[in-house]
Amino acid sequence: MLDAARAGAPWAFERLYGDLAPIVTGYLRLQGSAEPDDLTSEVFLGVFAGLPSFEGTESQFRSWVFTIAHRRLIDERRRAVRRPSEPTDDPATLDGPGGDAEAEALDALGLRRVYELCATLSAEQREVVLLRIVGDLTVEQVAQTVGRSVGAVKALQRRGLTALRKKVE
Amino acid sequence: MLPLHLLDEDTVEALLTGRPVTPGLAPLAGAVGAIKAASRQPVRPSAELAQRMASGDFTGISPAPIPAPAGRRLRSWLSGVSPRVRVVTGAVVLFTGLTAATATGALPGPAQARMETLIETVTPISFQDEPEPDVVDIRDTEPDRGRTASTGPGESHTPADPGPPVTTPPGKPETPPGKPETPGNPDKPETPPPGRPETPGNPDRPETPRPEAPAPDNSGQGNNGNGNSGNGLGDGNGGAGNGNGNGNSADRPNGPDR
Repeated sequence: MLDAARAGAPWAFERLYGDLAPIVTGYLRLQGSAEPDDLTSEVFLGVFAGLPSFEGTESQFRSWVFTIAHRRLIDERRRAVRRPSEPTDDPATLDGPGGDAEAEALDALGLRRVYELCATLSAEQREVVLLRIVGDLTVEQVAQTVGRSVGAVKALQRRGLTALRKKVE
Repeated sequence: MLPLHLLDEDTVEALLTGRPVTPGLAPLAGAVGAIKAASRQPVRPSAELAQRMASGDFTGISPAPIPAPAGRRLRSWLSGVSPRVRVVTGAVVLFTGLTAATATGALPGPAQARMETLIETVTPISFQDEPEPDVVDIRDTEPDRGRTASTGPGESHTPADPGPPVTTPPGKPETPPGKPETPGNPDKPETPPPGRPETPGNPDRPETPRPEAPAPDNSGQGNNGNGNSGNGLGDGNGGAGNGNGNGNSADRPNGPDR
Protein backbone atom coordinates (compact mmCIF):
# COMPACT_ATOMS: atom_id res chain seq x y z
CA MET A 1 0.00 0.00 0.00
CA LEU A 2 2.83 2.38 0.80
CA ASP A 3 4.40 1.64 -2.55
CA ALA A 4 1.11 2.36 -4.28
CA ALA A 5 0.75 5.61 -2.38
CA ARG A 6 4.29 6.58 -3.34
CA ALA A 7 3.32 5.93 -6.94
CA GLY A 8 0.40 8.34 -6.49
CA ALA A 9 -2.47 5.84 -6.50
CA PRO A 10 -5.58 7.58 -5.11
CA TRP A 11 -6.96 4.39 -3.62
CA ALA A 12 -3.82 3.98 -1.53
CA PHE A 13 -4.16 7.49 -0.12
CA GLU A 14 -7.81 6.80 0.72
CA ARG A 15 -6.89 3.56 2.41
CA LEU A 16 -4.08 5.01 4.45
CA TYR A 17 -6.23 7.92 5.47
CA GLY A 18 -9.15 5.66 6.39
CA ASP A 19 -6.91 3.47 8.53
CA LEU A 20 -5.00 6.12 10.37
CA ALA A 21 -7.04 9.33 10.34
CA PRO A 22 -9.57 8.21 13.00
CA ILE A 23 -6.93 7.32 15.53
CA VAL A 24 -4.88 10.41 14.74
CA THR A 25 -7.96 12.55 15.25
CA GLY A 26 -8.78 10.69 18.45
CA TYR A 27 -5.28 11.25 19.75
CA LEU A 28 -5.40 14.95 18.90
CA ARG A 29 -8.87 15.35 20.41
CA LEU A 30 -7.99 13.62 23.66
CA GLN A 31 -4.86 15.71 23.80
CA GLY A 32 -7.03 18.81 23.79
CA SER A 33 -6.57 20.00 20.24
CA ALA A 34 -8.84 22.92 19.44
CA GLU A 35 -9.48 21.73 15.88
CA PRO A 36 -8.61 18.03 15.73
CA ASP A 37 -10.28 17.38 12.35
CA ASP A 38 -8.51 20.25 10.62
CA LEU A 39 -5.25 19.36 12.27
CA THR A 40 -5.58 15.78 11.08
CA SER A 41 -6.03 16.94 7.50
CA GLU A 42 -3.00 19.16 7.91
CA VAL A 43 -1.00 16.20 9.19
CA PHE A 44 -1.93 13.98 6.26
CA LEU A 45 -1.25 16.68 3.70
CA GLY A 46 2.32 16.84 4.99
CA VAL A 47 2.62 13.08 5.30
CA PHE A 48 1.41 12.37 1.78
CA ALA A 49 3.58 15.13 0.38
CA GLY A 50 6.61 13.61 2.11
CA LEU A 51 5.74 10.01 1.33
CA PRO A 52 8.06 9.70 -1.70
CA SER A 53 11.00 10.33 0.64
CA PHE A 54 9.83 7.92 3.30
CA GLU A 55 11.49 4.52 3.57
CA GLY A 56 10.29 1.93 6.05
CA THR A 57 7.64 -0.52 7.07
CA GLU A 58 3.98 0.21 7.70
CA SER A 59 4.68 0.16 11.43
CA GLN A 60 7.36 2.78 10.94
CA PHE A 61 4.98 4.73 8.75
CA ARG A 62 2.43 4.69 11.56
CA SER A 63 5.03 5.92 14.01
CA TRP A 64 6.06 8.65 11.58
CA VAL A 65 2.45 9.79 11.18
CA PHE A 66 2.08 10.13 14.94
CA THR A 67 5.37 11.95 15.18
CA ILE A 68 4.04 14.50 12.70
CA ALA A 69 0.72 14.69 14.54
CA HIS A 70 2.53 15.24 17.81
CA ARG A 71 4.60 18.06 16.31
CA ARG A 72 1.58 19.71 14.73
CA LEU A 73 -0.21 19.55 18.06
CA ILE A 74 2.70 21.30 19.76
CA ASP A 75 2.68 23.91 17.00
CA GLU A 76 -1.02 24.46 17.54
CA ARG A 77 -0.49 24.94 21.26
CA ARG A 78 2.29 27.43 20.61
CA ARG A 79 0.07 29.36 18.26
CA ALA A 80 -2.65 29.35 20.87
CA VAL A 81 -0.27 30.67 23.51
CA ARG A 82 0.72 33.50 21.19
CA ARG A 83 -2.96 34.39 20.85
CA PRO A 84 -4.19 35.29 24.34
CA SER A 85 -7.78 35.38 23.14
CA GLU A 86 -7.72 31.58 22.95
CA PRO A 87 -6.07 30.42 26.15
CA THR A 88 -5.84 26.68 25.54
CA ASP A 89 -3.61 26.35 28.60
CA ASP A 90 -6.84 26.36 30.54
CA PRO A 91 -7.34 22.80 31.84
CA ALA A 92 -11.05 23.06 31.23
CA THR A 93 -10.32 23.61 27.56
CA LEU A 94 -7.62 20.98 27.33
CA ASP A 95 -9.27 18.27 29.32
CA GLY A 96 -12.90 18.59 28.47
CA PRO A 97 -15.23 18.98 25.52
CA GLY A 98 -15.46 22.30 23.79
CA GLY A 99 -19.10 23.32 23.98
CA ASP A 100 -22.55 22.26 25.03
CA ALA A 101 -23.55 20.68 21.73
CA GLU A 102 -20.29 18.82 21.56
CA ALA A 103 -20.69 17.76 25.19
CA GLU A 104 -24.05 16.24 24.42
CA ALA A 105 -22.62 14.33 21.53
CA LEU A 106 -19.77 13.11 23.68
CA ASP A 107 -22.20 12.01 26.35
CA ALA A 108 -24.12 10.06 23.76
CA LEU A 109 -20.96 8.30 22.67
CA GLY A 110 -19.74 7.73 26.19
CA LEU A 111 -16.74 9.89 25.56
CA ARG A 112 -17.23 12.17 28.49
CA ARG A 113 -16.02 9.40 30.72
CA VAL A 114 -12.93 9.08 28.56
CA TYR A 115 -12.25 12.80 28.88
CA GLU A 116 -12.57 12.51 32.62
CA LEU A 117 -10.14 9.64 32.66
CA CYS A 118 -7.65 11.54 30.56
CA ALA A 119 -8.03 14.57 32.80
CA THR A 120 -6.63 12.55 35.70
CA LEU A 121 -3.32 12.21 33.87
CA SER A 122 -0.56 14.76 33.75
CA ALA A 123 0.28 16.17 30.34
CA GLU A 124 3.34 13.92 30.05
CA GLN A 125 1.49 10.82 31.21
CA ARG A 126 -1.40 11.50 28.86
CA GLU A 127 0.93 12.02 25.93
CA VAL A 128 2.61 8.67 26.49
CA VAL A 129 -0.48 6.67 27.45
CA LEU A 130 -2.48 7.93 24.48
CA LEU A 131 0.30 7.15 22.04
CA ARG A 132 0.49 3.65 23.48
CA ILE A 133 -3.25 3.01 23.61
CA VAL A 134 -4.63 5.07 20.73
CA GLY A 135 -1.63 5.12 18.46
CA ASP A 136 -0.77 1.50 19.23
CA LEU A 137 2.89 2.41 19.20
CA THR A 138 5.64 0.49 20.96
CA VAL A 139 7.57 1.95 23.86
CA GLU A 140 10.50 2.65 21.57
CA GLN A 141 8.31 4.36 19.00
CA VAL A 142 6.69 6.52 21.66
CA ALA A 143 10.12 7.43 23.01
CA GLN A 144 11.19 8.54 19.55
CA THR A 145 7.96 10.43 18.96
CA VAL A 146 8.03 12.47 22.16
CA GLY A 147 11.82 12.75 22.39
CA ARG A 148 12.21 10.92 25.69
CA SER A 149 14.18 7.89 26.78
CA VAL A 150 12.62 4.44 26.82
CA GLY A 151 12.97 4.35 30.59
CA ALA A 152 11.18 7.66 30.97
CA VAL A 153 8.35 6.46 28.75
CA LYS A 154 7.99 3.28 30.80
CA ALA A 155 7.90 5.25 34.03
CA LEU A 156 5.33 7.67 32.64
CA GLN A 157 3.05 4.94 31.36
CA ARG A 158 3.24 3.07 34.66
CA ARG A 159 2.40 6.18 36.65
CA GLY A 160 -0.36 7.03 34.19
CA LEU A 161 -1.98 3.64 34.53
CA THR A 162 -1.65 3.86 38.29
CA ALA A 163 -3.47 7.19 38.21
CA LEU A 164 -6.17 5.71 35.99
CA ARG A 165 -6.52 2.78 38.33
CA LYS A 166 -7.08 5.06 41.29
CA LYS A 167 -9.75 6.84 39.29
CA VAL A 168 -11.70 3.75 38.26
CA GLU A 169 -11.46 1.73 41.50
CA MET B 1 -7.93 -5.23 44.95
CA LEU B 2 -4.27 -5.70 44.24
CA PRO B 3 -1.82 -3.27 45.76
CA LEU B 4 -0.81 -0.52 43.37
CA HIS B 5 2.82 -1.55 43.44
CA LEU B 6 1.91 -4.82 41.73
CA LEU B 7 1.39 -2.96 38.47
CA ASP B 8 4.62 -4.34 37.08
CA GLU B 9 6.00 -3.96 33.58
CA ASP B 10 4.36 -7.08 32.20
CA THR B 11 1.00 -6.02 33.58
CA VAL B 12 1.42 -2.56 32.12
CA GLU B 13 2.21 -4.02 28.72
CA ALA B 14 -0.74 -6.36 28.92
CA LEU B 15 -3.07 -3.51 29.77
CA LEU B 16 -1.76 -1.20 27.07
CA THR B 17 -1.80 -3.82 24.33
CA GLY B 18 -5.21 -5.24 25.25
CA ARG B 19 -4.01 -8.62 26.45
CA PRO B 20 -5.96 -10.42 29.20
CA VAL B 21 -5.22 -9.34 32.75
CA THR B 22 -6.22 -10.55 36.18
CA PRO B 23 -9.84 -9.96 37.23
CA GLY B 24 -8.73 -7.41 39.79
CA LEU B 25 -7.55 -5.19 36.97
CA ALA B 26 -10.74 -5.47 34.94
CA PRO B 27 -11.91 -1.91 35.70
CA LEU B 28 -8.58 -0.52 34.57
CA ALA B 29 -8.62 -2.68 31.47
CA GLY B 30 -12.12 -1.39 30.78
CA ALA B 31 -10.91 2.19 31.06
CA VAL B 32 -8.10 1.49 28.63
CA GLY B 33 -10.56 -0.12 26.25
CA ALA B 34 -12.86 2.90 26.49
CA ILE B 35 -10.00 5.22 25.58
CA LYS B 36 -9.16 3.03 22.60
CA ALA B 37 -12.77 2.85 21.44
CA ALA B 38 -13.17 6.61 21.72
CA SER B 39 -10.54 7.06 19.06
CA ARG B 40 -12.17 5.10 16.31
CA GLN B 41 -14.59 7.67 14.98
CA PRO B 42 -14.38 8.27 11.23
CA VAL B 43 -13.26 11.72 10.23
CA ARG B 44 -13.73 13.54 6.96
CA PRO B 45 -10.73 14.97 5.20
CA SER B 46 -10.63 18.66 4.49
CA ALA B 47 -11.65 19.78 1.00
CA GLU B 48 -8.07 20.34 -0.04
CA LEU B 49 -6.90 16.97 1.25
CA ALA B 50 -9.81 15.15 -0.40
CA GLN B 51 -9.06 16.83 -3.71
CA ARG B 52 -5.35 16.05 -3.55
CA MET B 53 -5.92 12.45 -2.51
CA ALA B 54 -8.25 12.00 -5.47
CA SER B 55 -5.70 13.42 -7.85
CA GLY B 56 -2.61 12.03 -6.16
CA ASP B 57 -0.97 15.41 -6.59
CA PHE B 58 0.64 16.90 -3.51
CA THR B 59 2.93 19.36 -5.21
CA GLY B 60 3.23 22.66 -3.43
CA ILE B 61 2.63 21.11 -0.03
CA SER B 62 5.46 21.32 2.45
CA PRO B 63 6.39 17.69 3.09
CA ALA B 64 6.56 16.44 6.65
CA PRO B 65 10.16 15.94 7.80
CA ILE B 66 11.40 12.40 7.68
CA PRO B 67 12.70 11.22 11.05
CA ALA B 68 16.43 10.55 10.97
CA PRO B 69 18.76 8.66 13.29
CA ALA B 70 20.54 10.69 15.93
CA GLY B 71 23.86 10.81 14.07
CA ARG B 72 22.22 11.96 10.91
CA ARG B 73 20.24 14.52 12.90
CA LEU B 74 23.48 16.12 14.16
CA ARG B 75 24.93 16.18 10.67
CA SER B 76 21.72 17.67 9.36
CA TRP B 77 21.79 20.35 12.02
CA LEU B 78 25.43 21.16 11.33
CA SER B 79 24.77 21.45 7.64
CA GLY B 80 22.04 23.96 8.32
CA VAL B 81 24.01 26.39 10.46
CA SER B 82 26.55 29.01 9.53
CA PRO B 83 30.30 28.24 9.46
CA ARG B 84 30.82 30.48 12.50
CA VAL B 85 28.35 28.45 14.53
CA ARG B 86 30.05 25.25 13.40
CA VAL B 87 33.46 26.56 14.52
CA VAL B 88 32.08 27.72 17.87
CA THR B 89 30.32 24.40 18.39
CA GLY B 90 33.48 22.50 17.58
CA ALA B 91 35.54 24.67 19.91
CA VAL B 92 33.07 24.22 22.74
CA VAL B 93 33.04 20.46 22.25
CA LEU B 94 36.83 20.33 22.08
CA PHE B 95 37.34 22.53 25.14
CA THR B 96 34.76 20.55 27.13
CA GLY B 97 36.45 17.31 26.22
CA LEU B 98 39.91 18.62 27.11
CA THR B 99 38.60 20.00 30.39
CA ALA B 100 37.13 16.64 31.27
CA ALA B 101 40.35 14.88 30.31
CA THR B 102 42.36 17.35 32.38
CA ALA B 103 40.08 16.95 35.36
CA THR B 104 40.62 13.22 35.28
CA GLY B 105 44.37 13.60 34.76
CA ALA B 106 44.25 11.65 31.55
CA LEU B 107 46.58 13.91 29.57
CA PRO B 108 50.34 13.32 29.35
CA GLY B 109 52.50 15.34 31.79
CA PRO B 110 53.34 18.58 29.95
CA ALA B 111 49.97 18.73 28.24
CA GLN B 112 48.25 18.19 31.58
CA ALA B 113 50.15 21.08 33.16
CA ARG B 114 49.48 23.41 30.24
CA MET B 115 45.80 22.56 30.20
CA GLU B 116 45.51 23.08 33.94
CA THR B 117 47.06 26.51 33.58
CA LEU B 118 44.82 27.38 30.67
CA ILE B 119 41.66 26.18 32.36
CA GLU B 120 42.51 27.96 35.61
CA THR B 121 43.10 31.11 33.63
CA VAL B 122 39.89 31.19 31.66
CA THR B 123 37.52 29.48 34.09
CA PRO B 124 36.91 29.54 37.84
CA ILE B 125 37.98 25.90 37.97
CA SER B 126 40.99 25.18 40.18
CA PHE B 127 42.94 21.97 40.09
CA GLN B 128 44.69 22.59 43.40
CA ASP B 129 43.27 20.29 46.01
CA GLU B 130 46.01 20.09 48.64
CA PRO B 131 45.51 22.94 51.10
CA GLU B 132 47.40 21.34 53.99
CA PRO B 133 50.85 21.33 52.39
CA ASP B 134 50.30 24.99 51.59
CA VAL B 135 50.02 25.84 55.28
CA VAL B 136 53.11 23.81 56.10
CA ASP B 137 55.08 25.61 53.42
CA ILE B 138 54.25 29.01 54.87
CA ARG B 139 55.52 28.01 58.29
CA ASP B 140 58.66 26.49 56.85
CA THR B 141 59.57 29.62 54.94
CA GLU B 142 59.59 31.98 57.90
CA PRO B 143 63.40 32.38 58.02
CA ASP B 144 63.65 32.54 54.31
CA ARG B 145 61.00 35.20 54.23
CA GLY B 146 63.09 37.30 56.50
CA ARG B 147 65.98 37.10 54.10
CA THR B 148 63.75 37.85 51.25
CA ALA B 149 62.33 40.86 53.01
CA SER B 150 65.81 42.18 53.56
CA THR B 151 66.56 41.91 49.90
CA GLY B 152 63.25 43.39 48.99
CA PRO B 153 64.12 47.07 49.21
CA GLY B 154 67.10 46.50 47.03
CA GLU B 155 64.95 44.97 44.46
CA SER B 156 62.42 47.71 44.75
CA HIS B 157 65.03 50.03 43.27
CA THR B 158 65.33 47.91 40.19
CA PRO B 159 62.07 48.38 38.40
CA ALA B 160 63.58 47.11 35.18
CA ASP B 161 63.61 43.63 36.67
CA PRO B 162 60.32 43.14 38.41
CA GLY B 163 60.82 39.41 38.51
CA PRO B 164 59.19 36.69 36.57
CA PRO B 165 55.46 36.82 36.34
CA VAL B 166 53.28 34.84 38.63
CA THR B 167 50.74 32.72 36.88
CA THR B 168 47.89 33.46 39.20
CA PRO B 169 44.73 33.54 37.15
CA PRO B 170 42.98 36.90 37.04
CA GLY B 171 40.02 37.25 39.24
CA LYS B 172 41.38 35.06 42.00
CA PRO B 173 41.94 36.52 45.45
CA GLU B 174 45.50 37.18 46.46
CA THR B 175 45.10 35.54 49.83
CA PRO B 176 43.05 32.51 50.55
CA PRO B 177 40.07 32.75 52.81
CA GLY B 178 40.75 31.29 56.16
CA LYS B 179 44.20 32.92 56.45
CA PRO B 180 43.32 36.34 57.81
CA GLU B 181 46.77 36.95 59.23
CA THR B 182 48.51 37.19 55.89
CA PRO B 183 47.00 40.33 54.35
CA GLY B 184 48.08 42.73 57.00
CA ASN B 185 51.52 41.32 57.57
CA PRO B 186 54.09 43.28 55.57
CA ASP B 187 56.71 40.68 56.35
CA LYS B 188 55.02 38.17 54.16
CA PRO B 189 54.91 39.72 50.73
CA GLU B 190 55.74 36.42 49.14
CA THR B 191 52.70 34.66 50.49
CA PRO B 192 51.77 32.34 47.71
CA PRO B 193 48.58 32.85 45.81
CA PRO B 194 45.66 30.80 47.04
CA GLY B 195 45.54 27.23 46.09
CA ARG B 196 48.75 27.16 44.15
CA PRO B 197 51.10 24.91 46.06
CA GLU B 198 53.38 24.60 43.08
CA THR B 199 54.55 28.22 43.49
CA PRO B 200 54.94 28.66 47.20
CA GLY B 201 58.42 30.12 47.22
CA ASN B 202 59.55 27.05 49.06
CA PRO B 203 63.31 26.99 49.28
CA ASP B 204 63.26 23.24 49.23
CA ARG B 205 62.30 23.10 45.63
CA PRO B 206 63.11 26.30 43.83
CA GLU B 207 65.02 24.57 41.07
CA THR B 208 62.11 22.48 39.95
CA PRO B 209 59.64 24.88 38.47
CA ARG B 210 56.63 23.32 36.88
CA PRO B 211 56.42 23.37 33.13
CA GLU B 212 53.80 26.09 33.20
CA ALA B 213 56.14 28.54 34.89
CA PRO B 214 56.78 30.48 31.66
CA ALA B 215 53.23 31.63 31.65
CA PRO B 216 51.78 34.16 29.24
CA ASP B 217 52.99 37.70 29.76
CA ASN B 218 49.50 39.05 30.16
CA SER B 219 48.78 37.15 33.32
CA GLY B 220 52.20 37.94 34.69
CA GLN B 221 51.76 41.66 34.21
CA GLY B 222 48.39 41.53 35.75
CA ASN B 223 49.69 39.86 38.84
CA ASN B 224 52.58 42.22 39.24
CA GLY B 225 50.10 44.98 39.31
CA ASN B 226 48.11 43.18 41.92
CA GLY B 227 51.15 42.58 44.01
CA ASN B 228 52.20 46.23 44.04
CA SER B 229 48.80 47.53 44.80
CA GLY B 230 48.32 44.96 47.50
CA ASN B 231 51.44 46.01 49.36
CA GLY B 232 50.87 49.62 48.64
CA LEU B 233 53.45 51.90 50.18
CA GLY B 234 54.35 49.47 52.93
CA ASP B 235 57.67 48.35 51.57
CA GLY B 236 57.18 47.92 47.86
CA ASN B 237 57.99 44.28 47.94
CA GLY B 238 55.14 43.14 45.81
CA GLY B 239 57.21 42.50 42.74
CA ALA B 240 59.98 40.86 44.65
CA GLY B 241 57.61 38.68 46.51
CA ASN B 242 56.00 37.47 43.39
CA GLY B 243 59.30 36.80 41.80
CA ASN B 244 60.45 34.63 44.64
CA GLY B 245 57.16 32.95 44.80
CA ASN B 246 57.53 31.80 41.26
CA GLY B 247 60.32 29.48 42.06
CA ASN B 248 63.22 31.75 41.03
CA SER B 249 64.43 32.52 44.49
CA ALA B 250 67.63 30.66 43.76
CA ASP B 251 68.35 33.04 40.92
CA ARG B 252 67.37 36.22 42.62
CA PRO B 253 70.14 36.51 45.21
CA ASN B 254 72.73 35.71 42.59
CA GLY B 255 71.14 37.81 39.97
CA PRO B 256 71.76 41.41 39.01
CA ASP B 257 70.95 42.67 42.50
CA ARG B 258 74.22 41.43 43.86
